[in-house]
Amino acid sequence: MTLQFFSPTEVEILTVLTERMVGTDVPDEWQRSYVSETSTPEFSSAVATIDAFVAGLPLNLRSQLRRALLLFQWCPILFIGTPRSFTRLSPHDAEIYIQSWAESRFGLRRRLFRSLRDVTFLGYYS
Amino acid sequence: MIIKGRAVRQDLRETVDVCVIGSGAGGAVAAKELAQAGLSVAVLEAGENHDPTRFSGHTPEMLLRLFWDGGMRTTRDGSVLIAQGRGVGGSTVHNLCYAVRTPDPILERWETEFGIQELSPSDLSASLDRVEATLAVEQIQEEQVNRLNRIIRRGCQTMGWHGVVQRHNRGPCPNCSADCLLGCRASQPGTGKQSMAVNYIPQALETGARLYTDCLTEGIVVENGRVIGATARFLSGNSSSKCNRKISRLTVRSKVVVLAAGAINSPQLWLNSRIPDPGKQVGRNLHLHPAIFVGGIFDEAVDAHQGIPQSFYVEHFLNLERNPDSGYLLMPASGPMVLVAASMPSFGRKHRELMRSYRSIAALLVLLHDHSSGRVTVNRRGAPVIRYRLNCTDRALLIEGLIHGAQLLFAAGAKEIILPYTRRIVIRRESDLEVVRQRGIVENDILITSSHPQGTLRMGADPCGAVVDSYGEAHAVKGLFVVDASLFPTSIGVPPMLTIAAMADRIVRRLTVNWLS
Repeated sequence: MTLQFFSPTEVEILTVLTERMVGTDVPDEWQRSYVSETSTPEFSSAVATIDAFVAGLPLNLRSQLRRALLLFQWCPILFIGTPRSFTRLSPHDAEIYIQSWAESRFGLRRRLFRSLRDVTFLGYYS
Repeated sequence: MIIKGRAVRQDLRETVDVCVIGSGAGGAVAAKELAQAGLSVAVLEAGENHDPTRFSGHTPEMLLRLFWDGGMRTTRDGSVLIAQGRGVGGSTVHNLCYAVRTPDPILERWETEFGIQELSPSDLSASLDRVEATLAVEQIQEEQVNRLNRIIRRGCQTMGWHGVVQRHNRGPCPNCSADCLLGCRASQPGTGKQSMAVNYIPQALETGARLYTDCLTEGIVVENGRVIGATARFLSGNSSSKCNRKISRLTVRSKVVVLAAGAINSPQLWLNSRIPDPGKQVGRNLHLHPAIFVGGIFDEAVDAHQGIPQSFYVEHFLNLERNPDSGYLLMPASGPMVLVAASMPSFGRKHRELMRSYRSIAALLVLLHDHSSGRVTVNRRGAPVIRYRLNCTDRALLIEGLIHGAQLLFAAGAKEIILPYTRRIVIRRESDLEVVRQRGIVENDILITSSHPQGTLRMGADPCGAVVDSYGEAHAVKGLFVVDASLFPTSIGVPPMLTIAAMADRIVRRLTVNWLS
């Protein structure tokens, strides 16, 4: 995949995030945690679309999205007490983690959840 | 003549009678009327000149091409997503063509409460007539009402509420669908969406106006209390690429500047240009017409994306004669799959389950005639900062609207209601709707959108309480006129395209008469 904006590490986060936000039909017990094993063409294609879209946004919005993504990756220990990055969480833990953002009492976390969710939907459903 | 900013490789200078900033519902009308009156006109447009036949329908691409900030512009706290058009034709390229006249009680209120002269319904009627003729506004025919709108009408009738099939500025369109939101591929004179880009702008160009595209206005120049022109820079290409090319600039000298950049960008430009603002009103009084989504899952296929997306709306809860200050409309809502996905609650498997019902979902928007007001300021980089918070009355009205919307959908046959909260709440009976009151309206827990920002350079007789006078000219600066939704003194409560265009027509006709005399 030729990237226009995100780094390979960010693409890995974005791929797992897209998969968790959009959901899959694969039963939980069959899902594996690591992006290298779970990434399917539909999610790779979605991430390529997101990358191209974000590359066209104004600089401030691009930077905000990048920061949001990295914050999301490194905060499971803070919000669900699991000492792993987001991409290394099991699907079950990832769901609990995302839910904690979605229903946080802090407006900023709810806002970041919405932004990331909508960007992944933009990549997948377009 | 069109000068494409991306192809310009040198600084340019231009001397004209009138410089028009923006080419949407206000700017396009101003450009055409002024050019036809024999004045030399330069139009500065920050976006591109679209070729409708090359609209791809691909959501990410079209969001970047048609909207400011790729459709991701929000209020400062992120709670309201604001969709504003960018490019020749402005928001008329992506709007859904409701052609609604300014309600009489609103005009009467503006006249009496804000001292605006010659703005009674009969005064504005000639301008509205001219705009409607140019935009080919006509009644939507019964056979054009799609299944979604029929379902909403069925629910409205069952509830005993009042709603009507509206008029639109759209010619015959063989493949009309919800993708209309991403630009109409059939758009040309007489066919498809009759946006400003296919009638007013070409007519302005035919009579000699010069249109600069991809040309971002950076300042309005004022000297000794009188406007003398504007400065702009040409945009150079993909914003993500590092471009070593020198930025080319445009300097326009003009006796008059007509500001029509929209209710966010117009005050931004005013503030960045440090134009006098003795009443400290610039950027204040922002109204957004905030809208929230409520959907219903039906047993039948709705296929809401097929046909004219919006033709009917429920106006039962907008009684401006009784209460000119508040109320709401219930409007059918449909759009490309991405927008439907973003409107749905939850994520992951629960969201995916809802998306499987895509073809069976009929949805409404509760569009609020808001009394709450916000403010546009600028940050250190000169970018707009939009502050807006719903007051208690408006929150209560949105909750009421959400409940009424759900009741209408149940009455139309919905088996389950989809609420716009982050968490999916299953509502299968009317009695379950009490949860809406309990949950209320919490920022970033509920999706709120806006397509009609207005009011930030408001019109009024009093220089302390308004920015421009009864004829759109700045109280503090001679020769600076405003002709976009910024000049509305209050929220208007209905889709604003016709009102913006008619106000622009009224203002520039008077300007022309004064000029020639």
